[in-house]
Amino acid sequence: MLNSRHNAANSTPAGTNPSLRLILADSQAIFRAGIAKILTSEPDIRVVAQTGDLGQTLTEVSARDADLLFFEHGLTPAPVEAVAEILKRAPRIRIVVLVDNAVERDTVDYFRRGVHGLITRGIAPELLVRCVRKVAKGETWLDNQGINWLVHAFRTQSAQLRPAEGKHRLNEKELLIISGVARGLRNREIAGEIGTSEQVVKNCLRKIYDKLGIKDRLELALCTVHERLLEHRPAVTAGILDPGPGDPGASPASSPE
Amino acid sequence: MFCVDAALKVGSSVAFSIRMPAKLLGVPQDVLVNGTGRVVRCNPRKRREAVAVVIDDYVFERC
Repeated sequence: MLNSRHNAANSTPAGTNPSLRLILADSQAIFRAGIAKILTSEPDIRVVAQTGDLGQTLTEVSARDADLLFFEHGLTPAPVEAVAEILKRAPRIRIVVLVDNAVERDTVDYFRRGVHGLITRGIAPELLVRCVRKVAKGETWLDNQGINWLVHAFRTQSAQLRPAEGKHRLNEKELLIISGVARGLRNREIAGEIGTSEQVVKNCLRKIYDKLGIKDRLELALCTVHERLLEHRPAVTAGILDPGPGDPGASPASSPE
Repeated sequence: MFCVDAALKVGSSVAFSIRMPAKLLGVPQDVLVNGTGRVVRCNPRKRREAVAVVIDDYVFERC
C-alpha cells in the first residue's frame, strides 16, 4: 500500500555534517513527510529511512545503524511487543513513540520495554527537535503526566513484588490466580479475567499448590490470609464477579479443576 | 483445627464458616467460606477444646 522507503541522501540538506541518524516509522505518509521536513532542516539530524509498516521498520532498523527511531503507536496491532523486537534487532537504537493520546498503561509498558521518549502528534516543531537531540544523548523525553504514571507504576510494582520475593516465589500470574481463587471464582472465570485459557489456570494452580504445599482451594485461601500473599496488592474490583441467579459459587475440589 | 467452647464427639458432623479479611485477600469485601466436616480429634487446650476436623465440603460465598 505504501512505497515509503526513501533514500537517505534525499532527506539531507547538502553541505551539512549530520551526526544523528533517524528512522521514521509512521503509517501516515503525510505525517512522515511533515516530520521529515522539520527534522532535515536541522544540520545535525539526518532521516535515513521512512517506513509505513512494521515489516519495513524491522528491516530498516536491522540494516541501518540508526541512532533513533520515531515509532508510531498505531503502526501495528501489538506495538509494545514490536518495540521489544526492534530493540532485539537493534539494541543501540533509541525509540521515541508517537501516539495520538498518551495512555497510562501503554506508556508504562513502553518504558518498561526500553523506550526513551513518548510524544503526541500535537507536539510543536521546536519541541520535536529538542526531543530528538535529548533522546539521542541518552536522556528521556516524557511529559509530567507520563512521569507521574511511571512513578506510580514503580511504587505499585515494588509493593506487588514483595510477596513474590518471599519464600514462596510466586510470580505475577500466580498471584492473580490466587486472587481469583480467594474471591471464589471458578477457573474459567479466572481465565477470562486474566486473559488466558482454563487449562493454563489449572496448570498454574498445580504449581501454586506445589509451591505452597497445599492441596485445594480452601487451603489456598487460608494460606493467602495466613501468609499475607496478597496484602500489598491493590484491591480488585468486582467487575465480572457478580454471581448470576442460582450460581452457588465455586465448588470444592481436591485437584485444581 | 478449630477452638470451641465445648468438647465435640469424634465422628460428629460440624458446619463452619470462615470469614477471611478483604485487606489480606486484596479484594473489596471480606470473603466467606461455608463448609461441613467431621470431627477426628478433640483435646482440651487453654480452657477451650481444640477440635480437628476433616473438611468434606465447602463453598466460597462470592464477594
